[in-house]
Amino acid sequence: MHLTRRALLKSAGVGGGALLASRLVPGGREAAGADEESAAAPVDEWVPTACWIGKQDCGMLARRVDGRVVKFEGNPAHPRNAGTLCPKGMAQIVSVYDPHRLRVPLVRTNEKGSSGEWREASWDEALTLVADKINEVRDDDPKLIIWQKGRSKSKELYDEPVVEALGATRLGHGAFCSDAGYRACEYTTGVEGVLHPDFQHTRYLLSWGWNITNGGGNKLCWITWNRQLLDARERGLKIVVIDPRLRSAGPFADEWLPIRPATDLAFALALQNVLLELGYVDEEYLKNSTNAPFLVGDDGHVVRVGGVEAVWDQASARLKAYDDPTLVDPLLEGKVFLESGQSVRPAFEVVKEHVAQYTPEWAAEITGIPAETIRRIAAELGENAQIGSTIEIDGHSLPYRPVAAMAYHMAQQELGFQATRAMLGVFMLLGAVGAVGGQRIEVGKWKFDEEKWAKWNEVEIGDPPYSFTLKDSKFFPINSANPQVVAGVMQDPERYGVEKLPRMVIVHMTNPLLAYPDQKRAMDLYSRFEFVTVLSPWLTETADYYADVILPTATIEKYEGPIGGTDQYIDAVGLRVPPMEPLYESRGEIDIYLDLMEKVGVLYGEHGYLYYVNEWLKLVEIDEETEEVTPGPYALPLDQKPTVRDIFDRWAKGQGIEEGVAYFEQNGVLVKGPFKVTDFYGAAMDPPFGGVRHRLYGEALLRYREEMKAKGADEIYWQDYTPLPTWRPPTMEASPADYDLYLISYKLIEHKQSRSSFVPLLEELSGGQRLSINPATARARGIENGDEVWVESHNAVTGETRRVRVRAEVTAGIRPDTVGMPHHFGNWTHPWGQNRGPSPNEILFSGEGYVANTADQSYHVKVRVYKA
Amino acid sequence: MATPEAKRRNTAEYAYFGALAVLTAVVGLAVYAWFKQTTVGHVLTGLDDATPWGLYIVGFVFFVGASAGSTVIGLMIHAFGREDYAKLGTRAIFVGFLSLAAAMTNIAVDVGSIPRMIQLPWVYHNPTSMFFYTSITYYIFAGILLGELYYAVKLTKGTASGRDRKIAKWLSIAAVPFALAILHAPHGALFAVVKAREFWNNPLLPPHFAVVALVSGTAIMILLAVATNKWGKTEIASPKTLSHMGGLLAFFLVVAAFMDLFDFLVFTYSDNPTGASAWDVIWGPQLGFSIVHVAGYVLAIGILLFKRSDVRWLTAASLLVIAGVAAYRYNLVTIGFAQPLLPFQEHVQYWPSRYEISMALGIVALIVLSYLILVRVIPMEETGKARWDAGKLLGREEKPGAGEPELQA
Amino acid sequence: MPRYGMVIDLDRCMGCRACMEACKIENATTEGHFWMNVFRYEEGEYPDVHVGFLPRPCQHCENAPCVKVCPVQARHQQDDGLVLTDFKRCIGCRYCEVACPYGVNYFAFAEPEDSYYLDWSDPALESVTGGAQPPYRNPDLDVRHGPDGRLVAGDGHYGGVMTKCTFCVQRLEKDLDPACVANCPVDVFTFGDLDDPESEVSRKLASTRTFRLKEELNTRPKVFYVGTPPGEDTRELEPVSKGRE
Repeated sequence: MHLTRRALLKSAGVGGGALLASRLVPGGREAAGADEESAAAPVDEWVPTACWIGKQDCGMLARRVDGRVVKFEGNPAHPRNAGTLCPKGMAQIVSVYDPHRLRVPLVRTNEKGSSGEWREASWDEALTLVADKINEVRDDDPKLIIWQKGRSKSKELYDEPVVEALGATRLGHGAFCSDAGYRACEYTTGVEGVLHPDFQHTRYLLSWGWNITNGGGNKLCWITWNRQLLDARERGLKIVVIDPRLRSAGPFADEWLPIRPATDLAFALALQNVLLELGYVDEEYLKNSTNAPFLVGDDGHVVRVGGVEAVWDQASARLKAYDDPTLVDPLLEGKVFLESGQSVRPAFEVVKEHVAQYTPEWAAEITGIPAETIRRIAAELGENAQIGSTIEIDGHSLPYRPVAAMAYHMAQQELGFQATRAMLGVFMLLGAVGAVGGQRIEVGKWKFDEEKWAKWNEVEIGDPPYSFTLKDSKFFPINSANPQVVAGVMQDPERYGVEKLPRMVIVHMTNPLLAYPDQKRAMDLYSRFEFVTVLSPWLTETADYYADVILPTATIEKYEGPIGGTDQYIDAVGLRVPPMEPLYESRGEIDIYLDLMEKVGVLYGEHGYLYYVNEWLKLVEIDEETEEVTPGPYALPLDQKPTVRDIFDRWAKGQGIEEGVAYFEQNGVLVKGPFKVTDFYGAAMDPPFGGVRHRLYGEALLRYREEMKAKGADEIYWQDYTPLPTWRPPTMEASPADYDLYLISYKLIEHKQSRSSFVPLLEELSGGQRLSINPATARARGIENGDEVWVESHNAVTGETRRVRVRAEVTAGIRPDTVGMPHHFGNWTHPWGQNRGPSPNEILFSGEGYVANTADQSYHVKVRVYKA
Repeated sequence: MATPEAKRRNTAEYAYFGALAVLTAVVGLAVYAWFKQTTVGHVLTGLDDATPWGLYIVGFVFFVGASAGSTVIGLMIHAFGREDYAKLGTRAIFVGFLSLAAAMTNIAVDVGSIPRMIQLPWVYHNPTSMFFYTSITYYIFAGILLGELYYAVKLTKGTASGRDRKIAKWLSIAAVPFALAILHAPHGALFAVVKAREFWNNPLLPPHFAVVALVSGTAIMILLAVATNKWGKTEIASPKTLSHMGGLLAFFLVVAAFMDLFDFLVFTYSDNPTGASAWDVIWGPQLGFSIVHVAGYVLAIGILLFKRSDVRWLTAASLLVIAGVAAYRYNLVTIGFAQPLLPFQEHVQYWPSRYEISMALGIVALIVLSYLILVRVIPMEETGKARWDAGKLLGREEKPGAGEPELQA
Repeated sequence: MPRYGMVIDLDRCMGCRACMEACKIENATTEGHFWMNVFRYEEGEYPDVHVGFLPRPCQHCENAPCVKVCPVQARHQQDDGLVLTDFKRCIGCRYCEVACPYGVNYFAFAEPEDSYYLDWSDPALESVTGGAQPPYRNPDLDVRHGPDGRLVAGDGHYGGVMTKCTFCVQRLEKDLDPACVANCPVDVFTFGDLDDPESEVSRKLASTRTFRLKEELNTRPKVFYVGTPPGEDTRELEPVSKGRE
């Protein structure tokens, strides 16, 4: 073992003289290295693994010298990152070795609600404590156990089997991410995902709130899409950046439209207005692949023939079911009087009439973008869409509409669901959805998801008592299970008609106190649980204040997966392979769950953890109707505890990889090759888009509105359930006039949510929290670059105010009425997380007025800023 | 009961040892600071990669300048035949030597590794480096000074031979151009050759340095003479001599001020960004130094022109000059870094840390302490019958064997 | 003997700073040392704002002012054009840093063991890492390199010496690109032999208009830039930390 000179001197108790001498005659490292490592050539090897810190799970190679991992580099074979890593991926080696990692399970010895005092416990004791509590709650009602994930790197082994085996309730991070966007896209197209372009073919891109190289968040944000964007730009892609803050999009923006925060819906509606005015409409797509021709009555409901939505056949001048094979040419515009005397209009006509009010002049007032600019952008979109054009790819003649939006996190606002729908609507008018070069939704294949397509159309709004997530309730019929909504329910269950409240939570790799907006509300939530256990490699702030038991997990030192590896064009699958043993006494999560499930008594047998693992890893076939299970050749026996490696060995073999897990231990990633064009473009599928009619008109949304009203829900819940996206000013606008600025938040490429603001190398790189503020705004307040300022937010619903102190960074690249703070920082448990400035989540609000109609979190609030 | 005379002597003794104690304490603090800096690193200083040179380098150039400037006394004695300067001769050499030592100490605490530094220029050397070149001159100059001192002591003791006197004379004369042109002007060049820093990159900087060296050297010798007259056993410089020294100082100072004036003019006339940044610092954070520099010079010139025969005014002028030169050196070194290297960077203001200040004060204290002790050990002026005869010293009249009785005794 | 040079395409740089981290890990650079530093800056007034990024490694000048001023020839230039510091010889006078017009030098203001972000001297950790400081320290840094066999690679050898980008001398010897070049997600860098007309870097130089930083100083950098040089009125954005106090 090497000793540092300092440690040596200290341990020998040698005084200052020797220390001085050691400095004056520097020793250096070279000698030590030469002496002790000359005996044998070091074992210098590269082993594959997968990045752990970020979201992309990029393929990595770990350089291991005599068993010590010294560097991670990108795996050149991996389609996502092609041999490179982002700053986080590169720096994570520091956090792998972090001496501040949790070493052993900890059990709380003081009151919750303040910094924890702990005693060390054995794994056996800690897991027994958790298992006993689980069983106690399960005896009451298993649904009262919450399993909450932040980063789940293996849905197939955590999210599904753990929750199903326990019968627990799952909460994710989606409501704080882009779930409103997912819901909008799922409801409208049946595809799971949010809006992004087809970089290989798109020629004109609306980059909406995506900071391109610093924005992050969406699936392939850090490396893959940036590479594709730069290449596309060199091929002539035009980029219009729509964002209150310019920053990293700067060098790549052909045009910057600094939009007023939270007015995206108005802008999208105005684009629709101009497109319709100028006639940039893909009638063929609208007629054949959307519900645009469906006839809508004056009550807003669709007319049906024999239970099937009806259209007006212009050829026969008759009402027909839209799927009637005798239908020739459905009416798209105008008005029809039915025999009953009822006047009906095609949905498209309803859209036209609805959008007519949203002129560019109207939108200019709201968005701050000049009317002529809106007109021009719409016209450019229309022109570039080349409606009617086709392109030949792999022998298929496909519609070519090279216009698209990158609008992933447009969802993160009070009107996020409808804003995303309106944006999607723009590209539906242009016929660009699922076309070559057009609007994409899922990353990779165009996967029509029948279940989700039906689910959001058929929500049955029930009567109280509701579950504590308010699923199927009159409050949030389309519901992203927002933990902050659960917090509101726990504060006042009666108000929400909830009887049974959750009793315990298993917090899986997340730090809700910092990661999500409204820290105060989150603190209240966690203080109300009887029992909190946290799985994390570090003492998270959530664990510090509220955990009863902490289970220390490994970082990269574990098998985990399977991990998607696509760059959206090439299909690939990867696996995280441990480059070293877990440090200290930490363990991989799957190991932990195997033991925990065993202790709870739900590991073995039918409907146990292993049973569900078999299902999710597709090691068995389960007949959906009969629930009959047909084990495959590699199915896990349900009466033996497997090793984690064995689980993945079986999975790999089940995937047809002969070598099993050894293949991944050798290669890290299995590249399957490019997607077939007929799988990739919705328009190329047979039938196109899975044979469904995209919901330009949202009849179900109208039904929800009516039912919510009927059941006595307040306007704030049903106001955004409209069949067509409808503008209203966001609730925050009701804040007093002296809260004259909008606060927005965003990502830094140096950080990933709350999980990296204590990684020393990244903290050094990011330089800590800064408030972006326009020079004019700063000048008016006497603020100079680097000054400390207070940012005080106001809740327009409750009147509550909160403030944080932060350093100002004066930048001309932000609207004068807007200030911005990246949503990292604010840590307090790790020495490198301290004193790096606050998190904006401390002053953002949640709950009514600050969540969307789908229960998704808004990241906007009115604030005032003054010198500290 | 002590006589008044004895009382006065006692008080003087107490003051002397009191001063030694205070100085030792200051040196002690500096030693502690050095210990900390050596074991922890230069991170304890106010220096960073934006301002890699600071107070130590200021001290270094100031003392090299003072060292070079002190040769002016030898010049007066030997080249101009000013016999009234003779009693200052040994002390001037002594000041030169101690100043050089102070400069070296500043460099030693500034560099990253002392054991490696002292291998320069013997083991490692780079002929294109100004620093390598100056490192040679320290040894030569130290040699010259030691030689001068050796012969001066001999002369003082009256043991010098005629040949000794000749050597002493030529050493003293040679020391002047060496100190100014070969030792100190290259320190100006040390900065002037740095093209990356426009503030320094100026061919007039080396001669400017030489003039400022004479300014500071003369001012220090005036203060020394005044102090010795007051507290020493004998008068070593008459009011007339002091006034003459004041005149010399005025002359050097006016030349230095002219160089500053034209520096200023050229500098403000050009509107390049370097000028702007330096200007911002000169009139911004370092305004105090700028005021001391300019006001010190202007006031001192006024005093020297009209009041130099008054010892108190002369003392004040000398103090102003030393402060002015120190401020000039400080601004020169640190404002070299005022202009960030890349256009989007912001100026990082440097301030010395308390470690640097402790050490800078400690180095000053160390040489004052050394002087106070050594001045009692080494004979500085005539003692007993071996008179310091300027005539003999200047070798106008050979009287071989004059000091021999001493030797025999 | 190759003559190494680099072309940096500012039109592609997205300012992500992945190269900086690749450098930090590869060379085990200490806190506050950014041998590769990607500056982010903006110019103009709202809403006509230009944002730019400038990766700045050592320029490895042919007429390197730092080499000229080094009194002990610790800073030297190899025949392959790499400008390196001999860490066994550097006296820490910082004259090179003063003379460099590009600010690429980073002085070891603190001792290495106090400069690696966290206290790594932990028995449980050392049993895995063998006491390496930092645990990810690249073993190639602690051996001698170059024709004269000098200690020139990586950071963290001694306190009080001057450090800077080496173009990853330890990687070049293995025929690998420098860490920053290899890790760039968007291929901003082209690296190779300037004397070989067929090398990628020579072809890029021949086919693209490039500029060098401060050409008027005649330092003749071997790092060339494609794109627009930062103007005089640019303002830095999001500077990295200066290190902990």
